[in-house]
This record gives sequence, structure tokens and C-alpha cells, in this order.
Amino acid sequence: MKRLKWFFKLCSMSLSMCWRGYISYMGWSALVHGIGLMIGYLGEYVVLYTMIRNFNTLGGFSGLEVCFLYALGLTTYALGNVHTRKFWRMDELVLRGRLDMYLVRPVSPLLQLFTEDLQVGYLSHLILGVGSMLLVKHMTGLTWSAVQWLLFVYALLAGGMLMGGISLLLTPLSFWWGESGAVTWLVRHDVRYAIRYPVTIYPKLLRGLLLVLPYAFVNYYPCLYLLNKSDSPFAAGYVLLTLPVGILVNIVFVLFWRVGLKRYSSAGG
Amino acid sequence: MIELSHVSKSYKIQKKTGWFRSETQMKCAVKDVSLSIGRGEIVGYIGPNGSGKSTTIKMMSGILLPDEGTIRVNGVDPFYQRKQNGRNIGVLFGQRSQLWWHLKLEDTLNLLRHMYDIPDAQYAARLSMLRKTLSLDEFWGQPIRQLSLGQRMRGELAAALIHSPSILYLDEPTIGMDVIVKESIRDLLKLIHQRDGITILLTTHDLEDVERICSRVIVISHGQLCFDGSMARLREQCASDSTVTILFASETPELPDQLRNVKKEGKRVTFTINRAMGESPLLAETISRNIVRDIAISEPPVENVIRDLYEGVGQ
Repeated sequence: MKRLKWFFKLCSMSLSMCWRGYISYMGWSALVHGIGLMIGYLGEYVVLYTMIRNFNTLGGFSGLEVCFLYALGLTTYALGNVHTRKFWRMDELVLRGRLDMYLVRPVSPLLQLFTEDLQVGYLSHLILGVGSMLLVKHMTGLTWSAVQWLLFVYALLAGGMLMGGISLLLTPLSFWWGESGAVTWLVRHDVRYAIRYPVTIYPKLLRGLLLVLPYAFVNYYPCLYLLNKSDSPFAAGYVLLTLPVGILVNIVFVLFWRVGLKRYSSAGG
Repeated sequence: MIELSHVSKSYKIQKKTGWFRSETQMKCAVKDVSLSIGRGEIVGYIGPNGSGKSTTIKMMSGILLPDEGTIRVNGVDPFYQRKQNGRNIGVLFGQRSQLWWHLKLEDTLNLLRHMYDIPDAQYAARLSMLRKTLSLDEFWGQPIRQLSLGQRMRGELAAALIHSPSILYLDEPTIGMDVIVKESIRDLLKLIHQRDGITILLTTHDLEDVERICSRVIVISHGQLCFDGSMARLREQCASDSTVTILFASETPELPDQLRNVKKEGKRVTFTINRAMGESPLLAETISRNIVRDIAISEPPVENVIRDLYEGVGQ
């Protein structure tokens, strides 16, 4: 219990420091940057919506529904990558030996890396993502039961956890290869483009891949339930499945990291 | 305090031999190193680039696991008991910063207080001591990115010392500093050593650092220790020449035949002697045979001493 309190205090201190650092560094341009990002993403919505209106539906999803799917992907991406920034440049840590610093303190290096560079700028993603999902819900006249509201929040948090885990999953490759930016960029960023569309539109092989790298659990399955697209009585189960898959991916990452850390030989001098 | 016995460490190096093929070679970084450092010592740990200095420090601080041998720091195995070891040691990497770039020093210190679980009263006392000793008030309200190198290094020292460690590892603490700032950092290290009785191990390429603050110097070259003792003994042991200049009363002094590199300039005579090779009596003899008005002995530059030592092991 004391440990948990210590953990939350650490997180809140880091969050405050990252926020103040971000504001001190960016100044007013933080605001402009945030608005700019939102406009950029709004553009994506327009493109998606216009395109799908021409097809009428895509994989059984209407234009607005695909926007919802996209927004869920965006929101969980932002939630899940708040703490992963340090791992995007693993080569810095491994090849240049910056990891040393985290190994001489009495706190787990993973925890230190997670909390040192929190992406407070993702607030704009969150506002836009959640806002647009609620807007789509309103526009399509969707009504949610209390359970569905609950599972909506659950889908955001569990999906975030899964997204974060997927982003981190392959980063320990750096311990072997030195550089892993290209692969992790692909997994973290590029595959994200694939899940803006319902997975059913893809050929079987690709669909299998999106299940293996469990992206489909991030937004497709939760959307089936939240948008009432499924007649299956187990539809809620699809949403619930996101959390166990998320936990599993994160556990695999931590184990992989530990094996890698043993190999870490740091930059000699 | 710090005990290394028969410690060795090698790195794997991939050497490309073809388009896809590569060979793995082992490069020995540290070879059978044993040493012991007592409580409160200030030790200078020197050696040329790639000699195994950093590797040794990294093993002592628990970053690397030695291939062979054992290390005990305060009775703790630094690698397997990394967290416990972390509370005992402070580490300062001269080329890297642990301070939050866009924030004030106070923020980093506050976070470290939480990480190390420092009780409030202890933190307050420690902080006021460090503020005074390191003159932190001079830049207390400024973000780190605005500080000069000397100021930043004082901040780094505060961060490394805030949890009252009993051992401080410094990896090239004066790198890139001008003479005046170097001097002030040295003074601060001496001051902190006096106040805390802390054990300090520092690596450096600036021998001035070692001369000014270290009571003991350890030299490593090609992964092996080649000297362990005081700076004075280091000078004695190495076969470098000292230059002696004597102003005699007469223009024709009586000089022993064995004197080397003799240059005469009226009453002023310059020659070299080598203490390590037992030439000191020659100097005594020269002085006793003549009337001497003035005498000056210039020690060999310490760089020469060290160079001789480095090269000696390589052969």
C-alpha cells in the first residue's frame, strides 16, 4: 500500500515536471502546436469520411462509424504512448550508454524511463479523440446503456495499455542490434494506419497479422460492441478481451527487456 | 569499502568478414584487477583512452557484471544488489547530465528525494549544506539550460550527493572546463571530502586533478593495473629525468664525470639527474664539492611520467 502511494507520488511529480518543462520550453507555441495537431487530425477525419461516403460502407462500417474507429485508435495511441517516448530512441540509451544513469539509482530503470519523459502534448489527441467519438455517437443517434458507457471507458484504458505494450514490445531488440528505430517505428506508427479501417476489409493473411500483433483488439473488436455492430451475445466479451491481451503484451515486453538488459554492456570508454 | 579481487571483463566485438558473415571476437577490457579502497580515501584512477577505466567504474557501480572475480562495495555485490548499492553510491558522469534540462535544480533534487526516500528533516539539512557548500543560490531560480558549465557541474554534484552516499564515483568531472572553473570544482571536491568523509574515486585525463586532490593514484593501462600509490611515489618510480640548474660561485666548478646533459653558461650550469636510477648522490656530490649560490630543480612534467608508465605496460 505504501509502495503504491510512493508510485503515484512519483507519477504525479513527473507529470508536473514534464508539464512545466513542456510549457517552459514551448511557451505559447505549445498551444499553437496543440491546435495545429488537432487541425491536422481533423483533416484525416474529413478524408476518411468523404472517401467512405463514396463507397457507402466499408467492411460494414459507415463513414461516421469509421471515424469512430479511427478516433478510438487515436485516443488509445495517445493514452498508451504517454510514457514510451524514451524508448523511441533506444539507440541513444544502449549505444551511447545513457542507460547507465538509470542503473545506479535504487529505482527500477523501467519505471524511471517511463516517468522521465511523459508526453503531455498528447492532451490535444485526447481532447480531439474523445470529443469526436462522442460527436459521432450523437450524430448517429446511438444510445448506450450504463454497461456500454462503462465499457467505453474500459476500452479506452485497456486499449491504451495494449497500444503502449505494442509500441514497446520490440524496442529491446536494440540490446542486440544497437539500432531498432526502423522496426519499432513500423510497429508503433505505420501499422496504426492499417487499423483506421475495419480489419474485415483485409485479406485473411493480413487480418491474421493484425490479430497476432494484436492491433485488432485495440479498436476493431471494441467498436463492434460499442457501435452495436454485432448480434453475438458475446459482443461485450470482445471488449473485455482487450485488457488480458494488453497485460500479456506488456508482460512479454518486460521479460524481453530483462533478457536484453542482461546483455547490456554499455558504451565502453 | 571497495574491494575488487581478480576482476576481469571482456566485450564481444562483431567483426564483419563478408556481406552477411561476421566473426565474434572477444576484446579484453579489464584483466585480473585486484584493488582495495578504504573509507575516506580520494583516489585518482587514470589511464589512456580504452584502458579499462570506465569499465572498472561501471562494474563498481553495478552497471556491468564482471566475467570473473568478485566485487564488494560496502559489503554489497553492486550488480546483484543493484538497488541496495544505489543508495550507497553517488555517480557523476562528466559528459552526461542527470538534471532536468528545462527546470530548476530544485525540481530534480526534489524528484531524487522521492526516489531515494529521503526523510524530510534529513533532506532539509542536506540541502542547506549543499546550497552553502556548492553556492547553489547563485543560480537557484534558473532553469538548467541557462547555466554555465561550471554552474551545471555544481548542480550535478548536488544531485549526486543529495542522498548522502558514502562513495562518490566521478567520471571525468572536469572535462571541457576552463582552468578557473576546474580549480573551483577541485576545491569543492576537497571541501566535500573534508565535510562528509566521503570516499571518492575519480577518473580523469587531467593529471592536475589528481595532483591537487587525490591522496592516492591508481594507473590502469591495457586493462591491467600498473601503479598504485601516492603521486610522489609515482614520480620516483618512473624513469624520467629531473632538470637541475645550479648557480656556482666560480666559473670553473668541479663536476662529477657521470653527470649527463651538462650545459655551461658562465657560472650557471644545467644538467639532468634521474632519481629512479639512483643518481641523487651525484647531485649531493656536486653541491658538496663547490660553493653554491642558488639551485633550482624542476621535476619532469607529470604527463611524461604517465606516458612512460602507459608505454611501459604496452611493451
